[in-house]
Amino acid sequence: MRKAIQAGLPFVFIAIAHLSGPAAAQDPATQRDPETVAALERMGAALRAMDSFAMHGDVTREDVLSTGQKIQYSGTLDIQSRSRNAFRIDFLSSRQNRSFYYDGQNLTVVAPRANYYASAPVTGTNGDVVQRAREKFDIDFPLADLFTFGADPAAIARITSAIPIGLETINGQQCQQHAMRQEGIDWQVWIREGDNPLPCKIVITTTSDPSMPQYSAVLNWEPRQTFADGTFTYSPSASSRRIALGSVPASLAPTGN
Amino acid sequence: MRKFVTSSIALAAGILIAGLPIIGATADAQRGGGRSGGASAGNRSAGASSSRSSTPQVRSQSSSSINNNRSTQTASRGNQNVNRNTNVNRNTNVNVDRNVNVDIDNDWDNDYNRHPVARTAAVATTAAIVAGSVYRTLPPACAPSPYGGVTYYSCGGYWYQPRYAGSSVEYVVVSQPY
Repeated sequence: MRKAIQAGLPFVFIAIAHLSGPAAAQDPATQRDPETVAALERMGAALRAMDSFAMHGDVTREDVLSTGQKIQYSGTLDIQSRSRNAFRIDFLSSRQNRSFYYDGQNLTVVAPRANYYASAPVTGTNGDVVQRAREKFDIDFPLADLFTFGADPAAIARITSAIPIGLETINGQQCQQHAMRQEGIDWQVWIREGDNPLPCKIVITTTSDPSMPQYSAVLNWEPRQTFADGTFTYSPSASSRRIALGSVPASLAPTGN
Repeated sequence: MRKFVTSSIALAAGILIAGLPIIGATADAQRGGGRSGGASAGNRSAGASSSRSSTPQVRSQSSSSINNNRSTQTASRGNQNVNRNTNVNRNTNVNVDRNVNVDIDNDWDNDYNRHPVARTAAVATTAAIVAGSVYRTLPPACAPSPYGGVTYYSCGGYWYQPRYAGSSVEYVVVSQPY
């Protein structure tokens, strides 16, 4: 019996490879449920379809101490986006407040309590700016993926496992839960049922630390938002101090090392 | 990798307790990474107490984004960090291991200094200050001094330039700007 199964296996593999294409044949560990992939693509399309929006998120995030113990913090995240080429991101918590302004010409990072700000000239779409800020200034905007979901096919390709979990009610909304795995993180997204499949909630589990800290955000959307002038441009007060963004001039760099 | 980093911290702490200066190159080498320009993890308190060195430090943080395109770099660094979410890698081709660095380990606002976790030395006392050292907080009574469009602080004969590293504020010791 066993022999028969072993003998049959190559044929099974051939059949699977034939049915599911070369990618699946190369990496049998990659299992992306087509229903979940389609749901992620629909969500990306819904995000991309919004010319302007405002989003409020209730956030928890975690630090891992050297002992492995996790400490959880609470905060809020507000993202305002206009015409895909201006945004304002405000992350507020008791420990840290940050605001990021992009008005189509400059990116400004503000630490309101310390009263520091730094600006750099940048242009492009919100998705471009998110990417450039990461590469050039090591700035990771919280939930930056909301600007890029559906725009980068490589994002789906990075997913090694994607499975549908089922329906949950979040803030009175019916939302379909999906669970994904990719290198370094597991993540879950709850996607609103109906005509406007926006994310209701996102959980990101960092798997490269054995304590696996999580970032969790429950999201509320206001599509088709209009904004007051000045929403996206930072206006420093008289007491604000401008500082550098990520580097010290070479002339001031220390010598000898 | 983790073990190596941990023992490096212990080594660094030992040096600090002995009251010897840390030079940038040494600290960078110990972190297994390093930043161009010689910026390093310094510690102003040569008299570091044992209670301080036993304070738990933050070793990693939850990533706040999914596709941060740093998976390769993260993987090469073993289990230490994920994201830093905010800030493991500056993409200036050097790794900045902020999460195992006792002085710039966190991104707390520098006006919030009473938090019991990941407290670091706050008082400048000795000659352990070298140009390029990076601190999370300023010594007391540092006077702001705007020059060239940005802000410097001067105190105790040293000059500090605040800057964003990612979205965290840190202070780097610089030569006198003017």
